[in-house]
Amino acid sequence: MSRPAALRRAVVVVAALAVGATGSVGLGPRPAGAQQVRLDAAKQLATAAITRRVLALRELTTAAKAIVRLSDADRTALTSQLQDQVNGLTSLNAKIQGDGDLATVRADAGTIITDYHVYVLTIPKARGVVVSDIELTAEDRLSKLADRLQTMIDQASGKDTTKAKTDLAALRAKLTSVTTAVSPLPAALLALQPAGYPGNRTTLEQARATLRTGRQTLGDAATLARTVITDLK
Amino acid sequence: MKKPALAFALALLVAAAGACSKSSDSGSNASATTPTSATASSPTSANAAGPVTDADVAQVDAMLHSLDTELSRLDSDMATGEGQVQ
Repeated sequence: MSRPAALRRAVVVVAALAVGATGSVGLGPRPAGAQQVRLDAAKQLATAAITRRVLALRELTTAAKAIVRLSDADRTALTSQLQDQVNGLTSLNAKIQGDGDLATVRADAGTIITDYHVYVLTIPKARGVVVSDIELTAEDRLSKLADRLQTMIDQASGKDTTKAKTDLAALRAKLTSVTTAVSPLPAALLALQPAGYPGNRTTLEQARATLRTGRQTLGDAATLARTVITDLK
Repeated sequence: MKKPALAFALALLVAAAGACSKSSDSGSNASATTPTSATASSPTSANAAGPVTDADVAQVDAMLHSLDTELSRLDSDMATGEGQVQ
């Protein structure tokens, strides 16, 4: 091997050893500027994650305030829980922006998930409460229609109302089924806390299934209401 | 206002202006919820008393339609993970 070639090979070997030892192409410790860039990037990522969650929570807070059928206590409990998470995440973001090293930022950013579970628990649970309210409102509306259909039956002199009565009874049974199944859901959902996740995910899944069944039953009830109208013609 | 707080407030404003319409990571994009009051208020076209008509039932159908939308959002919510935070 010629002398210049041997020299070049030696330089390459030394450079490779330096990269292996430091994890960078520099021969010394990582410059403070690069660390700052990584720190800032981690903080920005955490801020973005928090911002998305805060916006989603605020949107659901608006929906929660519009709840009409549930109790004031349920509505207040839901809006309070959502606001508590907004407040907590806002404070967490302030802490993260003040963190002085990457390890602390990463540890704090991890609590965005572990302490809140916004997407996998809070939002589905809030949505479930809102859906419960809609179903119970629809049930209430159909119940009032059922009362008016009963009046129509009572006033249908000279007509055979046997089928109308049977269909109306079936309609009322559907409504009772919805009320029985859906009424307990808001309280059950509001009781779910981030600390209980993922164990409490089962409750969420069951609530969703119940709400799906409730929707189907309400559709059946609406069909029966139309049938009773036809029965009385 | 301190610098971190100002930066966070600005981030919220920017995100509110445009970020809701696009997916920035695998996290949920909670979509707008139809307020229950929007579906529960009584339209003036139907009678609150007297014989029940198809129009009365159609009002319930409208509520069920909004219910379908919310149930779809619930499905979407529950299918989504937390996404990346670090």
